Parts: sequence; structure tokens; C-alpha cells
Amino acid sequence: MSYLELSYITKSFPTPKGPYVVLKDVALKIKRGEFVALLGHSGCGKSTLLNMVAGLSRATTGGVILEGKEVYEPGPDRMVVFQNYSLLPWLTAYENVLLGINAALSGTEAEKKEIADRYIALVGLTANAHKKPGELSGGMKQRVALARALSIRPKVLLLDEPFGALDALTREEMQDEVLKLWEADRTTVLMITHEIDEAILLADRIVLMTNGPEATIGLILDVNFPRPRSRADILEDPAYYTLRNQVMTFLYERAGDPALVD
Amino acid sequence: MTNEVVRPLSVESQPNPALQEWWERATYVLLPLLALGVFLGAWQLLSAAGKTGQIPGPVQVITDTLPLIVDPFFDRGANDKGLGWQLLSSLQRVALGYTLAAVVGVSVGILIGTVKPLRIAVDPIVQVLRTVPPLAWLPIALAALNQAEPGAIFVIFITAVWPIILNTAVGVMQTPQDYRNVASVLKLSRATYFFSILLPSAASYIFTGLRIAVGLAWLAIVAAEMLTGGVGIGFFIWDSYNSSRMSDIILAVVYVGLVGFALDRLVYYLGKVLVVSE
Repeated sequence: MSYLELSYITKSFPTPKGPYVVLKDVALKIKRGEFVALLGHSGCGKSTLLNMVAGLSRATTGGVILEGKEVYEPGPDRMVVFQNYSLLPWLTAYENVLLGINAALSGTEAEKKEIADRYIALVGLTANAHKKPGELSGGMKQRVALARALSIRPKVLLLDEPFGALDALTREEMQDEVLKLWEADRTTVLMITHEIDEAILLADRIVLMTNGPEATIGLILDVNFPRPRSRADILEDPAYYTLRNQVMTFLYERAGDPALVD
Repeated sequence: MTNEVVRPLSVESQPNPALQEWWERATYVLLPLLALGVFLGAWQLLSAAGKTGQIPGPVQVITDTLPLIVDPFFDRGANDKGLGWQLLSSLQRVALGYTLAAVVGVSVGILIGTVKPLRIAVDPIVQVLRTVPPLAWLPIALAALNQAEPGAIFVIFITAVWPIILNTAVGVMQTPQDYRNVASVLKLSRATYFFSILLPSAASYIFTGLRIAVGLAWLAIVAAEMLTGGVGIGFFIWDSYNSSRMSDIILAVVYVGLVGFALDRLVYYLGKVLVVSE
């Protein structure tokens, strides 16, 4: 029984020359508590797909089903962490987190504040809780966005290239952070990325997209490293290289376009 | 490979950085003073040569208006009050008209920024009316309101309201898609969306409008006080002209300029304190 289902999603945009089909018949079943990474070249429609799961846009045909109900509109049960953080610059880190909690959770004022404090602490930002986003580094901003998303305990966490805007060192740090947080509470995650190692480190399954137009799922690979994982352990495992090669081969040969972004 | 860093040969030939910085700053005071000196000097020369008509030279202006300058707060009853009182009375009118313009302007701006059909409907009216000069509103204000004082407030209001409406509407329309996405994913209530996202996001635009408007409101004061008479810097200018006190007019004009400048700065700094951007 699947928890989140992408049911034959096709998305096309009208153009003067007729409809432009971005995604065609994307079908995927995700189990509860599963971490799925969606990997593909830039422009293959990954973000379009994620937006549809979030409810920010609608599929032309097909749809998204969560716990047996079709998704029609955005909602806090499918919280998104955007690549550009999307924090409100006039609120402090703490207030940004609290805004989500106030909107999505019920409870007393004190309970809500306690939750905000807890999640700010969980992402290691207690010392910077009362700074505005403008005073925080990229990594810290993404921590705030993560805390905002996790604090309302969504059914599905949607990560849209969450570390794409970070420098390489901070990115690794954040990947380890997410790994630790996820292994602690096992929220169902759909993550978009174009970084192979990120997908291997974090995901239970890697879903590879073919190139657009008419992009669809080309290959699904299971990632069977035991949890809790660590970057070092994975790098020592020969299976890592086999898996990495499979992904590379798909991206370079079967997906067609050799210009891998990044 | 050696790790030898070459040291520059001499540091003495470089000028003293502290002195250089002091000089850099001093130019920002000295150059404007120089320009002012040239302007006043030229004016004085022209008036000495009899080329300025009835306008007295700067020296003449200062000697004529010295009593007004040294005692801005005398009160000899009726309209015979110091320039300080005149300015305060005008500021009061402007404050009233401007506050009204700010409240109405921001509200209408948010409305037409959010509701597209309304924006399309109202845009031509706004675009035409905003170019009407304050003086042209005078007879309309009088005819509509029948009374001088509300008429004057209306002239200030109607002059200042347009840039606030337009800038607020643009600010609301420019609310980044990212913030809208956050709002829809979190299903924020309308009130939370309004106060936590829409208003702060549009704040920098709103303050641009408010800043343009405060200048315009102050510009309208002379026109407005031609209506009211009594105490006020605008009427003081009009009154001085009718009794040919040219020096008084020039002093009042200088004061009007200084106060206008101060108002502009005030709104600017207020915006700087209140607007947070990334």
C-alpha cells in the first residue's frame, strides 16, 4: 500500500505551436517513511513535478494521491523546503519558524513556542534564533527553513534542491544534518537533486528522470546501505561505486544530454 | 619552492591615510559652501547692478528680515505672528492632509494592487487625476466643501494621495512568488497573510510613495493657504506679496525649502528604520 502516489502525471504548457509536454506519464509509489531522491538533468521537469506534489500547480492529466486522497491544493501536510530558502526577511529565524507553527498547529501559545524553540535547537540555531535572515549565512538560512518545515510535522517533506545554493563544504555539512534529522524521525521525503552523491547518501531509492520534453521516470535504483549511515562508511563500500556508475551511465548515456549541470 | 614575500620598498611616499580621509570628508562640506557662496555672490552683484527688478540682494534681505530671523516666535495677535508660528500652523495642516492621504492611499493602493479588475478599471482615472496641479484643485475644493479650512486640507490630501496609491499598488503586485508560495503551503489566514507578508513585503514601495507624497503635500501648502488666509507660511508669502515685502517673501521661501527638505529626510529615515529587506 503506497502512502504517496504520483499517478500517471502529465504536464503540458500551451504554446502558440501547440502544447509543450514537460512531463509524460510519471508514475511512482512512495512508502510511508521512505526517502526518495528524484535525480535528473536541469530542465527535465523535476521542480514542476515537486510543485504538483506540493499542490502549487496542477497536473494536466493524472494526479497526486496522499493517503488515498487526491491532492488539489497546497497545504502544511506537504511542507516544502525551497532552494532559495523563502524565509521572510522581516522576521527573525525564530519568528519564521513560529509563523508556520501558528498557522498549521493547534495548541496553546506556550506549547507553540516550546515547539519552535525545540526545532530551532534541533538544527543548532539557538544562538542565532533572534537574528533576521539577512544576518545569517546560506547554510543557517537553510537550517531555519528546515526547522520551519519539520516543526509542523508534515506527512511528506518536499525538498527542492535544498542545498543547490550552498558552497560545497556547507552543502556536505547540511547533508549530514538532514541525514541525522531524518534518521531520527523518518518523515516521508521526496527530494529533488542533481547531485549523485547527495542522493546516494540520503535516499532509500533514487528515481532517475529522462530528459525533457516528455520527461518521465527512466530508472529506479534501490540504495541499500544500512542505517544509520555515514559518509565515510558509504565511501568504503564497493557497492557505492557500482551504484554511482549505474547512475552516471544512465545520466550520460540513456538520458541523452551529457551536459550535467553543476 | 620558497615562501618569501616581497616587502614593498617604501611606505613613506604614501600620503597619510587619516589626513586623506579627513580631506575627503571636508570636501562634502566645503564644496557646497563654495557653491552657495558663488550663488549668493552672483545674486548680490546682479542686484547691485540693478538687474534683479524688485528682488533685493541677499544682504538687503538679511537686514530687512533680521527681526523676523532673531525672534521666530513673537505673537502680536491676529495674523502678526513670528515665522515659527507660521511654519507650525502650516505643518499642522500638512500633517492632517498628509495623514489622510497616507491612510487612504495605502488602503486604495492595496485594494487595486490585489484586485486586478479594479486596477484595470481605476487606472485611467488615477493616471489623469494625478497630473492635476494643486492650484487647479482649489476652486473644486471650495465649491465642494464651501469652507476654507477643510478645502485647504483637501488640496493637500488630493495632491499627496496619488503617488501613495500608485507605489503601494506596485509594491503589492511585486510580492515575490516565493512568499506567496510559503503563504499557500502554510495556508496562512487572510489576516496573517496581510500583516506578515503583504504589508512588510510592499513596505519599501509604500515608503517610496510616502516620501514623494510628503514633498508634494508641502508643495501644496502655498496653494492651500491662499484659501485659508490667517496664520501659515503659505499665506504669509501671499500676504507679503500683496504688501510688497519682498525680503520677507525670500526669507519665507528659504524656510519653506528647509522644512520641505527636513520632511523628506524624516520620511526617508523612518522608512530606513521600518523597512527590512534581504
